[in-house]
Amino acid sequence: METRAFVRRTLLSVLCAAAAVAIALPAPATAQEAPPPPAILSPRPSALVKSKFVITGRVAASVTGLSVGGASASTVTVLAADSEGATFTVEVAVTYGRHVIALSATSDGATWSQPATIAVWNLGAVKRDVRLVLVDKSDFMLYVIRWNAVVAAYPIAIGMRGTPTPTGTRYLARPSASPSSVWGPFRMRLYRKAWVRVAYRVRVSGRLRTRYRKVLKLVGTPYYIHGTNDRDSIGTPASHGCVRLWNKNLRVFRGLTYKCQLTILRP
Amino acid sequence: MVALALFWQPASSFATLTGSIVENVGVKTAKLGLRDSTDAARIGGAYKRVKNTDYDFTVWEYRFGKRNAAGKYGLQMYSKGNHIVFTFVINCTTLKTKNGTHVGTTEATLAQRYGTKLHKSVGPVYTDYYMGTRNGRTDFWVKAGKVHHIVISRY
Repeated sequence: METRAFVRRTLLSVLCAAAAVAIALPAPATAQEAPPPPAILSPRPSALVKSKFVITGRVAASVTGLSVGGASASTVTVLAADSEGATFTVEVAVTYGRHVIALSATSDGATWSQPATIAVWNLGAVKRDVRLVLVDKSDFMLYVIRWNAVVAAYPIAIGMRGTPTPTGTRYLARPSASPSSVWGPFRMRLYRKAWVRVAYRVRVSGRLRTRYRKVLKLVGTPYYIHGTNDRDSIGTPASHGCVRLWNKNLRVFRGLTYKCQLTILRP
Repeated sequence: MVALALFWQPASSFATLTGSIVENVGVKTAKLGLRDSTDAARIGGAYKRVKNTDYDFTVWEYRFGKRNAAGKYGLQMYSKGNHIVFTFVINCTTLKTKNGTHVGTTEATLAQRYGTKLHKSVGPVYTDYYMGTRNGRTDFWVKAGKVHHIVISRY
């Protein structure tokens, strides 16, 4: 019995000693903990940007570099870190269209953070406005722009090559009932600004005379934004000048565009 | 598009369209730039004629062949108020080009047959393979890897 107790005590002490050694020793070498992903401060998501623009944000203090995916970056600058982290700026060049740019941080060239992503739009030389609908005939897309950000983008059908959709600035009317199913659930007429001659009467030497003056008015055009019963036509030049949307998109579009200016671009 | 007037050409029932597509020119012997009555006779068979006057201009649409499930006709031909044809739209599989390309041909086969003649433009729904000039242009609209419809137009 004494021998068994001795053995038990000895084993227990050996195990305790091993545990103490294991706690005292440093942990085996592992990869350095990845820094948190960069926080992008500007531009904001879905922003309208030019072909060259700057991304700014904050990264952890240990970060010394950034890698950029989804666009070509010319200059990456990480400023000196303060107690809360470092500020970075990245000059980015993008082509036309939508781009999802991913930024990853690195502290020693081998440790990468999870990427922070941001989607931006480069739609060329677009007049920056608070509320705007942009129809781009070159890529069969309609963009709803608010506060210089694209809030919605829908594929469209435009006029055939013999009956093209006119370009320029138009104004959207309120939705009106659709006379036929080929127009979808409703349609919205496009107006344009035009100088119109208006007659008025004046008394000259005791006699009423007709005079004319020009006033700037909104004049209706024969073109509409409307739905369609021909789903396959969207994405092609298929109409006689109108802009067609899928019916489900048209219903959402109506809620976004009250009193909006509409610009039709790129023949 | 609203059809204001619908004319029925009394003829035999719509027969299946057959013949050749001539790239950048027309269908069978019908050509862009000719009068619509001439082209309709050259295509032959029965057709429907629809007039649209909703716009600043009048558009005549000639519909040949059977109507498919999507509401498209085998061949649609468009002319303006001057009755000069400016567009053919081919939706049926029986009309083929000289090298055998037709609606339903795969994208890879199309690219292989025409090679560098075709330019490519990717859109949100379709990919457009096109060739020609504004006096005669052919567009192969590709969707889900196959030619969905063919458009021959001038503008």
